[in-house]
Amino acid sequence: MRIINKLLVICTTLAVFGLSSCTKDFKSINTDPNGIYPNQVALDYAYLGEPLNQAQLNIYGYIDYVYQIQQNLNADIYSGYMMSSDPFYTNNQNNTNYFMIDAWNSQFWDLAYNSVMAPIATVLQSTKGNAQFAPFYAWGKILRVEAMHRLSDQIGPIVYSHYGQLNADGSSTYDSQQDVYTTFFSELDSSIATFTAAEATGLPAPFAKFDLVYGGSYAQWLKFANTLRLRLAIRISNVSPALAQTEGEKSLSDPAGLLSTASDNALINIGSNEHPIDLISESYKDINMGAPLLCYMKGYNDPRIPFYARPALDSAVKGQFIGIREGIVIAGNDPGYYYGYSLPIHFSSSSGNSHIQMMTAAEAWFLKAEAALRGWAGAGNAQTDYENGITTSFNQYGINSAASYIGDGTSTEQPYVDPKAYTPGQNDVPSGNPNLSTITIKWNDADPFATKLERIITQKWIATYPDGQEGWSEFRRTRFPKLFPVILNNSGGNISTDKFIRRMPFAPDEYSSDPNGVSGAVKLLGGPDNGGTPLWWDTNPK
Amino acid sequence: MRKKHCQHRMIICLLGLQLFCFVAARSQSAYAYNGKSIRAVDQKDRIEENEKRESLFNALKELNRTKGAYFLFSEQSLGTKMVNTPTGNETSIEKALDHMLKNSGLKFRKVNEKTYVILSKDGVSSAIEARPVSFTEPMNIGPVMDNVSSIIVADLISGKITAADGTAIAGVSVAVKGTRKGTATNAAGEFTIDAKKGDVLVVSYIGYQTQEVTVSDATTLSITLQVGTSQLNEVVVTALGIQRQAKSLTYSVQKIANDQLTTVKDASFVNSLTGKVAGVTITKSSSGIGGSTRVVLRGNKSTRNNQPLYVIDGVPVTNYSPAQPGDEYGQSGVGYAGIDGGDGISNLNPEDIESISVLKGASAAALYGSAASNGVIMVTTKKGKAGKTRVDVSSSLTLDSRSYKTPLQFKYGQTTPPSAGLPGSLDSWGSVVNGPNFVDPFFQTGVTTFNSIALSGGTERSQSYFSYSFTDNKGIEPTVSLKKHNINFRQTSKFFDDRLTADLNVLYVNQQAHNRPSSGLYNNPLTGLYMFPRGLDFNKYKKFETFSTLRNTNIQNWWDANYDSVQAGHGQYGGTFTEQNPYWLLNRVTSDNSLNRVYTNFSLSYKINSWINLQARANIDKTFNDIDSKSFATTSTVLTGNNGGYGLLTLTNTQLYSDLLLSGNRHLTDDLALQATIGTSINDNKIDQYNYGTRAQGDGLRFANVFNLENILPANFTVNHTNTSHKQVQSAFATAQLNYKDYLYLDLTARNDWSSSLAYTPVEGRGFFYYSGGLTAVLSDMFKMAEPITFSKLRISYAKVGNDVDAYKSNPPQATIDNQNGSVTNTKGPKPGTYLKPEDNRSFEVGTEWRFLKDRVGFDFTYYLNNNFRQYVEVPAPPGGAASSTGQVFSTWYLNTGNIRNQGIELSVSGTPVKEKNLTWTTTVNYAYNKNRIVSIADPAAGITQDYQTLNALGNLLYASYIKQGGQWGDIYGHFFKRDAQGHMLVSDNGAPIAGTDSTKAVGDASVKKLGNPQPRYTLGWNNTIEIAHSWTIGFLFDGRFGGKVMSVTQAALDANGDSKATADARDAGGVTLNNAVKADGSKFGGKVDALTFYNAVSGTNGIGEYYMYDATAVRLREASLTYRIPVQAKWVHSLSVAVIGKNLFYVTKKAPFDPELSMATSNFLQGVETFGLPSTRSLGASVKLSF
Repeated sequence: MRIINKLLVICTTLAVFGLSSCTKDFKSINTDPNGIYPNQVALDYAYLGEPLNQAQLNIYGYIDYVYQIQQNLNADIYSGYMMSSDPFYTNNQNNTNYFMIDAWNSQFWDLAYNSVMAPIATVLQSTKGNAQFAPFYAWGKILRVEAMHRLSDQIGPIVYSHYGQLNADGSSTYDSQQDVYTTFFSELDSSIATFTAAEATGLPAPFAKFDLVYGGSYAQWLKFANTLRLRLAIRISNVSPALAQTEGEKSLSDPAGLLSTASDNALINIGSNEHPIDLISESYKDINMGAPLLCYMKGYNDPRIPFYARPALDSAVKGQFIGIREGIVIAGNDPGYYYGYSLPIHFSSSSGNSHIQMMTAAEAWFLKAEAALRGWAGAGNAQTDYENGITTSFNQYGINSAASYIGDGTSTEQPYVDPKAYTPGQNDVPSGNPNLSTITIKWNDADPFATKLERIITQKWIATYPDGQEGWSEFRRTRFPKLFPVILNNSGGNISTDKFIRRMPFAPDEYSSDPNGVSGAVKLLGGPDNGGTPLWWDTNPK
Repeated sequence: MRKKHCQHRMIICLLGLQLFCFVAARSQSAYAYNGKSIRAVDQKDRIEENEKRESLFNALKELNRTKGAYFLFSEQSLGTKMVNTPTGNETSIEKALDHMLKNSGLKFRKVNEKTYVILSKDGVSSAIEARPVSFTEPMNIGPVMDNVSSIIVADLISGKITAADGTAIAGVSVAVKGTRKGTATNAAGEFTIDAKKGDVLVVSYIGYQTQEVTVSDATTLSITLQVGTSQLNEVVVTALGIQRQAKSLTYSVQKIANDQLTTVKDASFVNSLTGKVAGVTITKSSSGIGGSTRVVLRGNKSTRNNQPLYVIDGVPVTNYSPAQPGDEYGQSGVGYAGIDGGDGISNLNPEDIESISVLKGASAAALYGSAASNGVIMVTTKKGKAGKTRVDVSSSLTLDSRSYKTPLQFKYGQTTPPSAGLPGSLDSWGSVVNGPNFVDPFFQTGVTTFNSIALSGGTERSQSYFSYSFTDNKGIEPTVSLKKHNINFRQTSKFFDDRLTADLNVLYVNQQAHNRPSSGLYNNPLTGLYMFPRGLDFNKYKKFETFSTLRNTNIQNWWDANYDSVQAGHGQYGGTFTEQNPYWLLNRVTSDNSLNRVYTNFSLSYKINSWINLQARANIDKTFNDIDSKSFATTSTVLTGNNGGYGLLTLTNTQLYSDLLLSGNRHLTDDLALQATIGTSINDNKIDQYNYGTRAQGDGLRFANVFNLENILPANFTVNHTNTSHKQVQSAFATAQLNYKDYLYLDLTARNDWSSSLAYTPVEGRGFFYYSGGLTAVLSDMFKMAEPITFSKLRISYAKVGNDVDAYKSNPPQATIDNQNGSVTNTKGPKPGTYLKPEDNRSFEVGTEWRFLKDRVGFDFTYYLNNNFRQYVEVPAPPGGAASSTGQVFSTWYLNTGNIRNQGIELSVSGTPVKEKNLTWTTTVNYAYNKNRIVSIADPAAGITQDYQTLNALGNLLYASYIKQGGQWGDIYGHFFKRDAQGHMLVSDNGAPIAGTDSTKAVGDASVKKLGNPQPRYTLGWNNTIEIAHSWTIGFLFDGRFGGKVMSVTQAALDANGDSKATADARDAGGVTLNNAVKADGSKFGGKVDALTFYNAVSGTNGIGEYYMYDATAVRLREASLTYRIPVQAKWVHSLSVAVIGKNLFYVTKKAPFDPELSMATSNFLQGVETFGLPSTRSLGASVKLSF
């Protein structure tokens, strides 16, 4: 009995020990000390503002190498702005010569969805239909259109209007590029309406603290949204002229106006982060200037050149402003071989351009010039707009007078000579070569439409640097300015050298996580999923 | 010789039929198998106060008659003492004795179910000291004891039992075969037993071979025990520290004794298990001595963690590695160098280990619960031993050198030699220069010394063990060193009539590793060394820095890197981040890893009565680990700021564990015994890791080359705390073993775990339950077996074990904070609408053990099948995913899905081929075969279409790895050759091979295909001990891994630059001969391909990986030793031995250009991949062991 008593005592002790040390602390133990949980960030609207803060920072990947594979190793190069001296341990088989590296080409997709769509989704969910939060809702949508039109311009169909919903088979539904552009327009319309009303109240924007571009100014964001709508309208002006004109004229007639002076430029303040282009060119030594941009600028005696690039250090071309031609053979696959060619200018606080350039007033003027060329109401005079575009771009770099430049009717793009070509002469673009442009600067109203368009686009292209995404998109739409085709084409026949690359293939990650969704997207694309299939708005037959 | 001292001739008095003297020094479990149970009748009678008295002798006689008990006196004179007469109504013998001995100055001790020793309270107190003593008078026993025919007067045999090294062994069981007579040795190793000539004494002790000694004319025996090679007779430590007879186990356990770890020592004792235990696959990081080790028991089972649980003296310990390379570049998130931060288990001093039991299957480990689903490695540490203080000194010195050389060429020179202002090219595809081999002189002879001293001693009641050891290593790479101090103190004491045992164990480890080598392409001296352009003068750059007037300090001096030249406009001198000056990296990009670990384990065990024991344990294990990395300015700016970089990692790992166990052990009937334990435990584990440092951008540091946190520019400062976790697991468990006639055993375990990591799921409250069951039949005891069969056993077991998930996964935050940019939305979480569940690991095993010819030969065979269901996976969600209730859309879902299956066999054959007077050869062969298959990963019903999980994506590198349905865990993927339908390699017109495209995109990336799996198909170990003339011992161990394929990124990089021997051979031969290659037009390609054309097409760190896969088969002489025990006459010396030892001496065969046992990391990543890792070492040395 004594034993049984003892056992009872022990069992009770064990039971008490077992049960009293119950799991009440489990929830706090299992809370990530580095995480933010929704109840922690209500103050100052942080749970609405922080995600949008983050979305702004990730329109262009700002951390480490993200920008490099998001945009630099595709659009920045395909736009003719830049070229890599690095064969990248891929024996120089990579995006630069149309050999699509799957591992790189998921980044634009992953970044857009993880770091823009996802954070904005939580904000839209929390603010939808709530008048108090309407500015956050409207702002979130503007940012989303800005980020996602860039992704669509890279690949075509994207997941947008059905984001956050899955089909019964677990797949997602893509929007065709046509549909997604239509959605962009309607979202911009509603956001502009919200901001117009909010501005009228005279109250400061509740998101000011999180606004990395305009510090909470409704007026500035209205200009931005109008310009963005005009950009999208111009983009579809070939494929869908009526819709383009309707949407474009809305922007042209909106009382808030467009971006008009350099001080209106939409620049994202990335704080103390190293500017991604500086990181890639300085620390990684992975990107130099592209040959076409410097050929144009030198040919035009463009005074912006020292604000864009640095003189070459390589003894073969020392002191020149000379870029590397896109898609060439790099001797010995030596990453140092071409590194001495012109580098992009430092993007840093000491150079006064530590911000990421999202959209400029110069671009707005060139958009307006094209709108005028197309006869859209409210666009004003094409020549005036064109010349304002140049002047505004000059102002952006502190150059006050553009008069002589505007008046230059003779200068043209300079021929390209690469003294270090693997096969001598292989990379050269001599005078008279059809790939060398003959367009001059000075406006001539008597020129045919195409010439005037080439002039506008060429100058817009120069002014838009370093945003290769916009440069490449407009090149595909208009085939202007003339660029140099690749020497090496490792696309396996998918991409025509003469027609240049038309799009990026769908991200490999999409194929694995959503095969049914992608097969639907390929149907919407209307062609094989490779770099040779033109996008919806890319109707140029060339 | 017959001694006639009177104390050796004694008469013992047997009360009852037999006196079974069993002494308490054996493990408590032994009682159950030897005794008979007492049937106590519960009565509440009170002992009368009115006492009658009689002589003790007479009183005991009566008890013997009425209750069948046997008694033993410690002193002859006790028999005449007057004691109370039992009333006859006592309910038990104990009560009767209590009554009798009240106020008599005597006490009793139960030594067995029916045997008691009567002791004087102030006299000899311990049962172990009790000797059978004769009574001189009165001896009036005959008429009373009708079941005893006469007084037996016997010769007493005495003796001493020692180990091979001459040390006395206490507590050795000595029994007379065929009787129940038995005793045990005292602290001096001495015993006395009643036996006569011709009797056979069975001498057995844990860890030693059981011996049978036939009593001859001599009455004094000297018996030397041999360390056991057969694991069958032993007592092994099983889960929770419960000791069990090996023969009763229902699952496979292999045990390793101390000498197998310490004869040829490794700084990390786990490495010594290779080849000695079947079914254990060991992969070492290529970071040299003290580096971490990956141990996998019976195949990789999990998408998350595959390493076993380590348990020291019954208590789980953490084995956390602060840093592992995460990709082929070698980035590990610590400062700039890709560092292997070592692992926790390497902290133990091998000399402190008594033995190791490897519980390979889930059945064995089920009682440890979720943490043990990958098996358990149980370490039993040394305790003090009663008796004279003993001092053990052990010292060894080994010299280490590369066990193979990476095949390089020095014949062909730099492709483009330097010219004015230009450094020339990186590669060496140039003309013949026949340059010197500058690589071999770079390496130095490594020196490892190990010194330890251990003191042990104590009384019967209290024993202490103290040890100190110091390991000092100088690496084979210059500047690399490791110093480790271990202090261990252990105190075991008994209180309250030995009912309470307290055991305290304190370990302290201090380890300093300088420049622990790592592999990868970043900041690795070997890349710059191996790929230095041939024809340039390497010695010129031993002076690794040069003065810069621009910076007013020393800058990196390298053939293609010179800061000043770049500033002067020679961009070609920018250098590369993959090939920097090796001496610069060793001296100016340094890392210091400092580890301090305190481990305290306290246990109290209380013996409630003869068969119930209560034990409480508490354990605190705290590790402080710092890694301090410095990069001087002009280190490649890809990796560091312009002014240099600094990284500081601080890791604190705290584990608090406690448990409470109630164990019972009793015979239910004469034939059926029950051993049962119920218990509860709590384990709280917290890892706090902070990484501070400069980001590799901008200036990094404010003042160049000043390395402290304050000097980091705010813009370039980064801190993260992401490798942090806190998890608490509470458990309740029970285990029972039913033993029928010592030949049939049924094992059952049950356990319920509540894990904090499943908080916020429905599992939080109910926890998760699992169980195991097993059955063992000792056939040789059940049936009469043919003469040659000594032992035969069949065992079968089944277990289901749950495994929780990592901390915080079930409660993902909405955002995390980036210290520079505020919040970052978290896009990973459980799939909306589902919740995380524990993994479900089910294993079945069946095995058999046979021994023949008096244990001369035997084998142990196991088949196992393990299915691990509900794997935790993180799968990319379809774009857009599904919005959760808060509007969060995860792009990665946490899910439970799939099943990974492992099945295999293990066979261990051991024998003693030679057993002569002066020559004994024992040998063991361990064989293991494992087949792994990813049965499923996708779950279409749950909308999970992706049928693979990414371990490493390809990036722009050579290697990728996926867990792909239908494949095997850890399959290596990479670029592959394009082939025609017949499998012929397709080449361009010039013969250059073409990379293929997988149109099915099996793993999403069309450019890759499965190339092989690094896991060996089977492993074989052959371990031998030869004893000559009792003083010479030769030990050697061969082991081999067969099959599997590994990848050499090194070779791909060397080929690209024309630095490998293969490229020189190809050039010498006039090109690479391709057999069966076909051109695009279908015609056969004839002849040779130009070497440069060929290697341009296949090589490089993003080349065609298929070409860089190698058969992982390797067979080597892993360990060899020759030990001589010096016969020292000096009385104070117990033993002295010296040995010549060697490790990893030579490869019988090795197909890869590196040691396939090495891997870049010991985490789940980068298995089977070698990227400029330090070659494994061959060690030769000597050791001395002295004990006195």
